[in-house]
Amino acid sequence: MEEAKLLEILQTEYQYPSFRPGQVETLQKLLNNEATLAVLPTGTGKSLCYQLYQRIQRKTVLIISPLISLMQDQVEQLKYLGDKKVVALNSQLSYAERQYVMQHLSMYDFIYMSPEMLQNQDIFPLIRKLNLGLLVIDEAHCISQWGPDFRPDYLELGRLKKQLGNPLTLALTATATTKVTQDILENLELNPANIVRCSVDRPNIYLDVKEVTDDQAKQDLLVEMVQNLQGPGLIYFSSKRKAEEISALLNAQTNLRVATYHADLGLEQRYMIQHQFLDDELDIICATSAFGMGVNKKNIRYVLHYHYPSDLESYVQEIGRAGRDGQQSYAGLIYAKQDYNLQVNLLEKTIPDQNEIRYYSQNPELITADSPERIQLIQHLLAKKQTEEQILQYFKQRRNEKYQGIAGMITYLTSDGCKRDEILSYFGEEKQTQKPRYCCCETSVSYEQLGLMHQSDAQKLSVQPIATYQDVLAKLFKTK
Amino acid sequence: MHQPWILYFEPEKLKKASVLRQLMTNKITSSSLFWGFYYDWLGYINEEPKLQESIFLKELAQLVKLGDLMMPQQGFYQLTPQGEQKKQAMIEAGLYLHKPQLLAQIDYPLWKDVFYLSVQAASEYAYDQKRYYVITSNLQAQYYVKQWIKKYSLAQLVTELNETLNKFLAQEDPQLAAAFSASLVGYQVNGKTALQIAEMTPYSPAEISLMQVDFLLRYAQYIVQEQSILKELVAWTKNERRVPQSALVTYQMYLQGFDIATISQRRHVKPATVEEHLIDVAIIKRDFPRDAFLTPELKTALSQMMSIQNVATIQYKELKEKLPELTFLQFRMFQIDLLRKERNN
Repeated sequence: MEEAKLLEILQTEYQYPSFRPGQVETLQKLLNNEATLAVLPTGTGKSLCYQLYQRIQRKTVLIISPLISLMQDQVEQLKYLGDKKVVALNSQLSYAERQYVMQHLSMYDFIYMSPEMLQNQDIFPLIRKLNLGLLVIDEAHCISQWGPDFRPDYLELGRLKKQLGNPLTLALTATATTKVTQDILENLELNPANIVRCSVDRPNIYLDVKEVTDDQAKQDLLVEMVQNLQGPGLIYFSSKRKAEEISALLNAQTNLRVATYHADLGLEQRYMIQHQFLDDELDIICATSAFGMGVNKKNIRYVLHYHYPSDLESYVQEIGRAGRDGQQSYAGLIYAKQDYNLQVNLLEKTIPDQNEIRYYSQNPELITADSPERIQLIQHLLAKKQTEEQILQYFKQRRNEKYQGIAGMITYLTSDGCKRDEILSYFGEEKQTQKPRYCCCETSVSYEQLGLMHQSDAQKLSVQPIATYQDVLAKLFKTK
Repeated sequence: MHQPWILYFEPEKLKKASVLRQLMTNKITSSSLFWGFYYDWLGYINEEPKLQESIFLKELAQLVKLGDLMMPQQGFYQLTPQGEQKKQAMIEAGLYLHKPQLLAQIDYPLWKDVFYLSVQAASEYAYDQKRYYVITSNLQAQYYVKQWIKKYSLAQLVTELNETLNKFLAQEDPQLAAAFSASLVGYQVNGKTALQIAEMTPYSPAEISLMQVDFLLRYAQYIVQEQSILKELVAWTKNERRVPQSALVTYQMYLQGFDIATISQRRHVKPATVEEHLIDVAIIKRDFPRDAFLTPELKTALSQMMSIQNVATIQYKELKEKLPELTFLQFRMFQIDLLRKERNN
């Protein structure tokens, strides 16, 4: 289909003025019946590729996704855009709801599920009966054992794809090194010629790294930064407790409107905070990585990291939330040498040690639904008929890869050269000859030069009088 | 979620904490059901399914340390005078579950989703909006609200919610009513979290969260009592899971005229199990025919040995020595009868 025709559909059906990089090429490959791997950075509208495809072909699209929260966000976005026949088949559904969905699968245009759900003995046969127009593997980097986010269930997708009759497949990811790309292609048997890849680079984001001596210095610097930077902004943490602590600190010490966001919040609370942020009722969100994957806010002016994430892939994804409107934005990472210990502690919590592996391999009946995730992973591997030795080897490899991920982050933090080049090199991309005007901390610039000096403060909640219930109800139901 | 623990205890009556935890986590046994009935805790069944024993005991120990609770007997707690004062202060401030028994009748999580979605749908309709991000992905809640709208209309949803909420909140403390309404979501209104509402009021986030549960439960009762057409939304979330399903089956067979021996045979369970089922149902259902198990003569004999004063402490063994033909089933039925009469229910 011609690009002009695709553009017409985009404008009519979705009211977007134009395509983003990579979308047209991906769509055209799919419409030519070519299975495709699309490596499109965060914020470039990967999901639009399969949404528009469905609008044209009018066949069911099955999307495999690793995260329930991501699925839910995308279901809500599709419904908001007018696609009502969409469902996420996951553990959040009650038994009755799941039964209803399973009995009416053919009526849905978009079905989201996890790879574990697809392997369910009751569900897979029903999926096989569907006339699938497209199989989408979202966050496809989870397939790769070389990647930081490896999920063993993703390894089954190649086999399951065959059993589904090899439907047209679209693999999507925002970040993929050369090794990870290779793994995805091999597992899903995709033609290397059908890769659509856009650079991970975001020229409108200035990359900054600041080293401090300790946590107090970090807090002091953070307070100074947020008071001087024009928001709205996101601050990432590796722990919920720290996110809450700093959120309270910023609320107490600044005039900014700050909220915390993490996986322990109830669903309505998450909804409220997301939408307050989208509507500019909040200046800053202090979040763990749970936030933002499905949130489509275009004018985030800065992303700060109080803790660096465990790998550069996650870092690039997280700073990618900034400046989706194309305007100048800022990514700042504050670190102290001691932060390494936090990363190592977090890493070790996700990997069982040798004693745990031996113990649970010999006593698998002791693994329950309440066991830590790293122990449940042992059960998962045992179910795949892995021996104790194979499991030991597997986790040894995983530990090595995770340490390599952290090492990659530290290289980025401590390198003296161009941060942008560092990122491009990591993802196997060519260094740019023409750098953006405001590139990275290799050349120091002020917030003023970036056009990001803080302007003014909105009124904080703590000084706002609470509205009476009469006023709230009158506003809600338009009775005044 | 739970209220502050002192609200569950009393100054003059020792209560076994493990019974509360078992009821809250829905790990119901015949024994926990009976003692829950005696302690007036049945309303808290399944109130906090994920409550961990270690955390629960730690928090009670903290209250003992603070001087609000005492544990004169291992595992049994009662309020100290200080604790009783604090409890009274909370009750006067309105920060407690006024009708905890409603938690047993209403599927609270589902009702909450239905309520918030109804308010949102009504508000968006009031401004002619058809496209918005729904506040809940709970398919069951979405279905119930859609069905109600199909039957009555969005316009009626707006009218009914506006009228009933205004009337209900007019009865409440104005500051708490304002705090409650601050959490509502609608057209260009994103609502506020408990933490945010706490910043604008003199209450803590925990108090705000508790108040929200209390208001939602009593609002549900209000619209049912007022015969509002919204009551159909509440009816659909009625929670009948308090009585174990198997006990209900036994009860149905009993009502159909089968005796214990026959029920036992047909259901392939022991007669003692059938008796346990009947006791469980007698605790939950007010209209259980207790008199069918208690002849007037037996009642007279038992009332000479058991009264409301010793109903919790007298042992079956003791009475059996004096009344050899007394069964455990009759013993329990008499206890339940005494307690119901004393509470006038």
